Amino acid sequence: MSYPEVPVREAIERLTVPFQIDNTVDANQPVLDRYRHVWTPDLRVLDADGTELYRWNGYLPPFEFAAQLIAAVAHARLRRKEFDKARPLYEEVVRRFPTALVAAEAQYYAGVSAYRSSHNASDLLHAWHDLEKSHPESEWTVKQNF
Amino acid sequence: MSEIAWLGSLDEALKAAHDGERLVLMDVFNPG
Repeated sequence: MSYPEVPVREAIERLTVPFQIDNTVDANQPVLDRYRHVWTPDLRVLDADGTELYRWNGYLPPFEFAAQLIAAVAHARLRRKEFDKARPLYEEVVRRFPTALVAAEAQYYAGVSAYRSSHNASDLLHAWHDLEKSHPESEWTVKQNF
Repeated sequence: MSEIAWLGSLDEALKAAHDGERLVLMDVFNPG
């Protein structure tokens, strides 16, 4: 279980309102059906109106979980077009968790959120250039080609 | 070490996130 670890707990408390729901309780079925729940671990990031903005399944050890959670909130902020809130979270993932599974994706979207905020193409190209150097084998380096 | 203060109701969590400062993290778990 990753939750007792300090980096995980700190990220959850700083960025989210945490809510747990037991999938074996009959009374919880309407919520589980609403979100098309199939398999645990099942993590969702929701808007205040209940809209799902990001999701992932599967166990992650503490280092990976903390990085994934911060990236998940960054994705949620990006979808809300809160580019100035998304960008520092992506950059935090890259800075604090450079070897995490989600690091290359965070570097990719750090560029996207910077560009969507500034409309300056050099912000995008600078971030993607760094991605090419730091994660040359990543699918996100493939995806940055155009 | 303190534990995370998980809420137990979706409505309560959505209400707590209403100001937009934090988003809701929903963790669906199986106690088995």
